[in-house]
Amino acid sequence: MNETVIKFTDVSFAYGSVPILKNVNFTIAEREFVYIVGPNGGGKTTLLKLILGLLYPVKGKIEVFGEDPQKVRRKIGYSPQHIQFDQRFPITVSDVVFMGRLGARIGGHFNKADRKAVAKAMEELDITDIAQYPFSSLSGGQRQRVLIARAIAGGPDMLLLDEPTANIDVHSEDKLSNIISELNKRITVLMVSHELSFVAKKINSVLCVNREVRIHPTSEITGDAVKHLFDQDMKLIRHDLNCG
Amino acid sequence: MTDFFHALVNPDFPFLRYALAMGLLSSVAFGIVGAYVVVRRISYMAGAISHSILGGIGLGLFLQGNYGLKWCHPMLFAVLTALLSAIIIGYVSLRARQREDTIIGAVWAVGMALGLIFLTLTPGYVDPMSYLFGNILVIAKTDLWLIMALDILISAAGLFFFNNLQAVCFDEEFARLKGLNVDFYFIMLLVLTALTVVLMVRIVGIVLVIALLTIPAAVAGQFTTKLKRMMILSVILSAIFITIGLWLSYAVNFPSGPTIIIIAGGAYILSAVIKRGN
Repeated sequence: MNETVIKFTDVSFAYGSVPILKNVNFTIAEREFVYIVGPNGGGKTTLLKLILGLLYPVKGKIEVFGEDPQKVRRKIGYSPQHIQFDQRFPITVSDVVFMGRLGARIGGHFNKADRKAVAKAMEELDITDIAQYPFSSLSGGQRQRVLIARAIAGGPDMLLLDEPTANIDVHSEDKLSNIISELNKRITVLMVSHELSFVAKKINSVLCVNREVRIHPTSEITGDAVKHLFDQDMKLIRHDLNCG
Repeated sequence: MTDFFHALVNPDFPFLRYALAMGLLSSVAFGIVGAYVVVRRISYMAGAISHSILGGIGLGLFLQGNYGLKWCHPMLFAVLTALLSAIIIGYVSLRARQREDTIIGAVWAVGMALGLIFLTLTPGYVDPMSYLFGNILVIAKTDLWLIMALDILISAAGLFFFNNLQAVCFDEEFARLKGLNVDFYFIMLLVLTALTVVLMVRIVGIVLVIALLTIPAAVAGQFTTKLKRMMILSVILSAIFITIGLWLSYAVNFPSGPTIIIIAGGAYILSAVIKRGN
């Protein structure tokens, strides 16, 4: 059995008096590929932010790599669904990807290793050609790829991707699937998706998030079988909520 | 124009040389910090810091005039007040975001109110106009050293921490995930802004500071796609606006601060028209 990298014990979270997640328990092992699904507003992004230590549980305990999430967040590559930024901010694609290398030195100066890692990440996401374009001039899909490149440029031990395929065309999606599968040989990957349009080569677990969280180990099945499982589970969770 | 150059080299008119030297030196800090202020959208915080400085200047003059405390130089108190305001605004903004605009308004007005009361209590007549609208022509040679030191400090900090400050301004959440102390960098940005504002008050005065801080950066922002280039261009533009403004104010005998701002404002409109035309 691989080592546990994420452990939620009786975790609840609420924004003020609005409960978002309730009594969440699950563990995720090293190098798993975890698919996170659930309806809008069900708490998927909140779950990722708890893992990153950007939010704190009101109850329960979260361990990431056996530690407090805040302490280890630098080991995690995170690609948000979208970022709030000033459309007129003068910044290029390459500048954004370089941010993935920050935090190592005072002042944030970059060296040869940083430049190499950034070049590699941009090549993998197929954005080398647009490296000097203003970030604000990009399409939704291009921005998504830039944010994923930024997440992997730091050489993370775990990758959290929030709807990475939302604005991406089929060709890029195939490519992204290959890149993520390749990374997944070394590191744990958690990916939020709205629907099941994106299927990785293997999925170890599916987390269904809708206020409650259910985990399904799915080591042997992919594609339609997984989709079927989601639908079943979503109904089940909703039913539970209605009843109680 | 030739008159202006003659006046510059005339040994009897050192003040004009000092004024231009100060303007050109400070442009470096103005351009760098102005670009941060524009992209992080904190020009109203800069406005509050600037206006609160009158409180410090007033206190300094009051202590000098009433108690003969020679060391209570108004500029020393201006620096201290600017830093205090920056830290108050920064702290409130970080701890209670919804109250941000209230505290900005309060610091702005209370600082001015205190300043005017202190000026009233100071013996002799002190004209607040020169502080409100600037009088670059009262700069002494000894001031230049202080100005140069502040200028170097601000520019060095602004450039040394460039990558981190850029990340914090662009995407605070991601910067936090990378282990950057986002709150520290935000306060640092406000402190750098406060020091820059003190320099600017000497040139254009308390009321006009926001324009000189933001217009060069705003013009530069229309023509650049990288923050660093925006800084370089806004340094150059600051220097040009100040030089032309000084020359014009000398030529037609206008007050220097407002003349510089009119030049900057005119350039801003022109650049917007050019940009639309393209």
